Amino acid sequence: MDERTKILTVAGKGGVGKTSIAAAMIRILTEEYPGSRILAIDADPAIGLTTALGVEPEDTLDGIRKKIVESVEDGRPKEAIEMLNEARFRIFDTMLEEESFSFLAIGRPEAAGCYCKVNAYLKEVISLLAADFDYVVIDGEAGIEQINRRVMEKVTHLFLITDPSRKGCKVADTIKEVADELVMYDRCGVIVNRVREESIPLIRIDSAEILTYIPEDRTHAENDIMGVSVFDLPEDSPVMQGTREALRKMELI
Amino acid sequence: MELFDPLIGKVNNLVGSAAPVKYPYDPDRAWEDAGGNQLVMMRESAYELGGDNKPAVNYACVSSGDYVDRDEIWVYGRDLNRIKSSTPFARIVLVRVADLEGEGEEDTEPVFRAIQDIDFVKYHVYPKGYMIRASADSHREQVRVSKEAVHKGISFEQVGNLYIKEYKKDPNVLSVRVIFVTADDADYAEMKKDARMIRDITRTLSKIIEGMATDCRSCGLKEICDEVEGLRELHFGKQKKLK
Repeated sequence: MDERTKILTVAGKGGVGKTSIAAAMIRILTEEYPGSRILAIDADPAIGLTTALGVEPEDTLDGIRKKIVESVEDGRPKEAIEMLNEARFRIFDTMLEEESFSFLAIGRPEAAGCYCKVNAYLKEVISLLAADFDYVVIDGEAGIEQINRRVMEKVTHLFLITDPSRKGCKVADTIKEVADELVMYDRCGVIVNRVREESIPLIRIDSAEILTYIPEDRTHAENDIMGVSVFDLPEDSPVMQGTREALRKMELI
Repeated sequence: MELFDPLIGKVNNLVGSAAPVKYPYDPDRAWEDAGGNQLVMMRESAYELGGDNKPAVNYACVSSGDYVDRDEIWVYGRDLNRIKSSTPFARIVLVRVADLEGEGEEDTEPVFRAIQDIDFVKYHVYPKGYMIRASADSHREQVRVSKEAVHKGISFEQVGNLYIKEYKKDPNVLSVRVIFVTADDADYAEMKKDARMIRDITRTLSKIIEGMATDCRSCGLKEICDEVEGLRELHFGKQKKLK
């Protein structure tokens, strides 16, 4: 991996606002570093980042995997170099290129059968591709090990997202433990989302520094329901301000 | 090695009606190699050869015949400095090789490996600002050419020289002709058929190595063997040797 590439990943319990924060990160990075190469990877099977960023991909990595597997099963054997280039060819067809950022959706995990070889080639291509970007932001599903297995061996900045609930905080601690075991990040911090001021003293997270508390934001919640892109949020909205603070503390802006 | 000769003979009929511009090989005029895969984003690219679902074909044909008597680059249609938007594209490589028959006429293994090695050269050429992506499945080769490369004067002659330089690292290669096609009246559909045919012939050689069925009636590759002179002889020669 190119050392200049910053790879940011958000992880945490389902429903804590990971996707909105990942989308806010993309927006802030595009504003702070116009002209730089920024890649958003939606690694959540629900593909919620598409709505948050206002993009509509036609295919996902899962679709590519199926096509490659079909061609292999069709009796068309391929050598490693062909598979790797086939994966690269198709990923470029799948990757959306907007004016200020690019977007890649991972899609659902494989449903049946083990296509480890194909997955390995796809992951290799993502890693190679990511190295050509300045910033990569991955919106992960709950399990960090899924990102490690399907998307990227190592990230530079791991953001654990939680709400104030004890369950959310415990999930954040667990994700951190798994990430420690996999040795898969350089820096790690926590964002506590949808929090009321009076409950802040009660929040306890042992595993990593809390970067910021993002207050409840009714407008954003309504926007979320309406499917409004994060690019249409006011700059002073809590999610934008909180995410900006977290990026600043991680020395990304 | 004459398996691909009928396809080589067809090339001139497919590449358009205008005469090609020909350049002799000159390694000193090769375009800079980026050393590895590079990313040219859409916003950085001047245009894409084979972009917007336009035809984009690539294949390589090897022969020990005298079709290619010197290293050359041929260009049919507009050169890179005259292209303004996505355009149909083909890159055909004709390679004259030394005798690839190995230890006996029926020994197809070195033939298969040599052909694959020559074909795979395409995965090891990285002209700077000329982002190639190739699909073995669809025989497509699309190229994003960066605005910067166009500004610096990139041409098919220079890119072709870089390709030939790489092909000539293979000891089996005697001479190479790299043909770039962007002509509007070229028969890209037929080229794609030929690309598939070359792939099938090469696969057949590999199947022979693996030990395929001896009953032609039940063999999925019968059609290829019927069409390509010499394949069936290679196959049964190999079977005989294995017994």
